[in-house]
Amino acid sequence: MRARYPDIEAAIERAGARIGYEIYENEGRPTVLLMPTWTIIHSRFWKMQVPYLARHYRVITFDGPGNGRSDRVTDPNRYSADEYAADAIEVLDATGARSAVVVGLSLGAAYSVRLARRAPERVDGIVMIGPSIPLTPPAPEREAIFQTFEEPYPDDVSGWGKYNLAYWQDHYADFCDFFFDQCLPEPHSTKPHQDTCAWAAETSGAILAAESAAPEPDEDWREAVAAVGCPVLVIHGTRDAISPHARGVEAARLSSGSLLTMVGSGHLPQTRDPVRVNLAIREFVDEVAA
Amino acid sequence: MRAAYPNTASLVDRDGAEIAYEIYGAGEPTILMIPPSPITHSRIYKGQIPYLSRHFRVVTFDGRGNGRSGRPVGIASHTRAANVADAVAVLDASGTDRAILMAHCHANWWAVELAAQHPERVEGLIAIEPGVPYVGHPEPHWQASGEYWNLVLDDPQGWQLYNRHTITNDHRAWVEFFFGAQLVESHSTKVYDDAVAWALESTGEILADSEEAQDLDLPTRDVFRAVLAGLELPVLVIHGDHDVCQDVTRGRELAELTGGEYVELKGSGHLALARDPVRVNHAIKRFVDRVGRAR
Repeated sequence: MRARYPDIEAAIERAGARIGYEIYENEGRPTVLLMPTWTIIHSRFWKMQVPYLARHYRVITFDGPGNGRSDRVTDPNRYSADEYAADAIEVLDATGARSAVVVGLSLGAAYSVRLARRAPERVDGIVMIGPSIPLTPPAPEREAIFQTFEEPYPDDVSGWGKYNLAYWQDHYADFCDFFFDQCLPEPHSTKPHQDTCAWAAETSGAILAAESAAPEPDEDWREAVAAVGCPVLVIHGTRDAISPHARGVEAARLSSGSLLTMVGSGHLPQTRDPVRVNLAIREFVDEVAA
Repeated sequence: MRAAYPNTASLVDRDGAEIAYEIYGAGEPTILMIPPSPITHSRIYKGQIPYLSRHFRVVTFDGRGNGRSGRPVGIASHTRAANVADAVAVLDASGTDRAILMAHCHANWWAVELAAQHPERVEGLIAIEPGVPYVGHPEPHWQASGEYWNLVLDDPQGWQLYNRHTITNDHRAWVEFFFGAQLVESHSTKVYDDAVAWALESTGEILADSEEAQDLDLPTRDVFRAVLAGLELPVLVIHGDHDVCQDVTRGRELAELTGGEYVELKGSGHLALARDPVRVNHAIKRFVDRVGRAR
């Protein structure tokens, strides 16, 4: 059972992949496009936003390649941020949306920036939640493991050592369990943890491997964020262990956006503190899409 | 922060123990929420108070031994009679002539005695996962506890933690085990943290005293069942079918004996009021509306 069901479920075909999208209609109201994030989860991670936002706006969600109702593509090129941006443009076209306020979580914030760079006329504003954009160095314990990402993992691997290409293939469920534990430092997060692990089980370590090899965009991330011309709101938790709070501060500074710091929140404030996040999104949309 | 704050918070002096009570909402009828103390206090009803006080007047209190009430020690301070008298004193102090009683677990025994002794002050009973004797099947782990209640066990495990020595000396171990066992629903971590914290506001000594006091002056089976059958008031019984403190057969039979309405919550444990508050609240609201209309 969902609190709200989509009015339209459909798909586009683009660059060799079927991309599933949903429309929650609200005639005459501004469009809010909820972007996909890292393909380890799919669009249901917006489940605490959709029912509320759809009462006030027309809401569109879509699954990126690799999860949900989209194809499990194995070509790394299909997972670049520019490919996600191109999917978003085609979904906006298919749904008849001239422009939208774009909301992106984690990597979805990076996809939103690419969307705004490629098609600024389609983006009324961007809300970045826990943006995972390399504007500042990652947390030290994560930086270290990037060096050994493609090497064999030791028998006694633990913690962030599980963020490893081979480990994903051998122990995907255990990696997901660890990863979402890190995403959810707030107490009483058992339901979001169960949800995220279940969505992750709809894809595989092989798909994450393909995604990890996606090419970076030509434009430097700092320049891209600074060049985004639309209004920006950044929401970032102080206990985000995936993308440090400093990145949100930097994203807001570079984009001349506003920053909502959520004290004590982890990487998924949209699920653990949905009311505050929803009210902030609503205030932003009312301001930029009036 | 609470979703609803009381209009009045006060104390009533009761035989050497101060009893703290709160009044929410206004109008008629009044629901008096009797807590199953001293393992918990009035906050166990935090999922009910904000909703019900929008519709009715709600009076809550902390039982002797926990919350903002006094901490009398000794078995003689925790008899059923003392707990019933506390509830009556709260009715008096809060200016409540008549109330619908709402109780959880063993507080239902006190509610039944109050209704039997003061029928003119009670206009209904909401029995949530009721713990009353001689009705339904007692849980085997409670029955077995009589054998080791007074023993000092080497390494008590599970339900063996329910003995005077462990409860007195390692209060937390018992409380954590007990609420862990009761919260059979997934995603109960917040309720668990709340329930353990409220329990630990009391002491193991007081809890052990109160457990022994509950069974003093036991009525006979026939007498007690006659009391239940003789209650001339509307009754609502709510029971989860996965309750491992009060077996669901208790709720079923209590409803039969009293001719009450019965709501069984599938998959719910002993703390359905905290884990499934909307269903519990709606059942209570419908019942109180009906009792109010019949006045």
